[in-house]
Amino acid sequence: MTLYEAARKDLIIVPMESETKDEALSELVRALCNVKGMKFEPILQAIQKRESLGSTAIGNAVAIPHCKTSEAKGISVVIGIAKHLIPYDSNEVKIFFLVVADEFNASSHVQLLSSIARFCSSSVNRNLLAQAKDAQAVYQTIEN
Amino acid sequence: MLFKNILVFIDSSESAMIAAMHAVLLSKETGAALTAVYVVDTKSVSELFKAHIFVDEEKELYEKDLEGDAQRYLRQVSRLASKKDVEVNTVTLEGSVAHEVRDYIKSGGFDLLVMGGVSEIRSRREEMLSESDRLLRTATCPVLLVRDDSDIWQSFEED
Repeated sequence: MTLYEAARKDLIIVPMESETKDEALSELVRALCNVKGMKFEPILQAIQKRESLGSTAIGNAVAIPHCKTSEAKGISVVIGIAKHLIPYDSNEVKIFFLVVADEFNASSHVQLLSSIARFCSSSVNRNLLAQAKDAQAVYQTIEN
Repeated sequence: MLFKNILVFIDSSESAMIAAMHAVLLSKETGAALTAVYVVDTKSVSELFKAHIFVDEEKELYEKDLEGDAQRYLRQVSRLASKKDVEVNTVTLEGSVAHEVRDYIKSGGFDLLVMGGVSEIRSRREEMLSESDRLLRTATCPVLLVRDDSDIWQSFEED
């Protein structure tokens, strides 16, 4: 599964309202749960548990918080672009990819994370996302 | 006989199972030997670890889960082959998917690769990211690319 296959316009938040890491994670998880009908608390806890093992900020203002949990339905990605850089552990982050997967799709989950990592390795892609004014602009960047 | 040694590439997609069905039927009709190969994508896991997306615990966990996927899908191929009284050799490899399959085609002397999993390209970028697409482009033997085919399911369910 590639980023393009997983991305949905109704799971892209531009701009995010959050000012802190905790707020950002909550905002992303809430968007996911609203759209896909999942339970907010267990998903957020799974994300926070993963964060407790080590930061998911990967540099260049990008973070990929992710988790695998029985509370998930399939594999989802929520993309969020913050208004400005948000302190995130020892980094600062503007571009978020929240990936939540159920426990039965390890291969697709790994493929999606790899696809996001490759996409974000391009400074052109990162700049286009960081400057995106709305969800459509983010989606077009992924599509093209 | 045109093909004597068929390799079918299996991944976690439904189209890989459809490819397996076609490969089983082809093997039955031609008498060609049939091998099903699944590559545990340890390269991607290692890259995610190097990029600090995975921590130690996750790397081990995901590798184990991916191995579980491989066994599950290959068991499914064995069941399909068994339904048609066809012998299939199942093989699990590790590493970079397209690269490993390409090498295995050479070392195993396969004369046909059967594969599904090449989805419609909806994005220029997607074309560059798909392991199946990479394999299709670089395989060193003839490739039979199987499109999604609902009739094939019926053929296996009838028995």
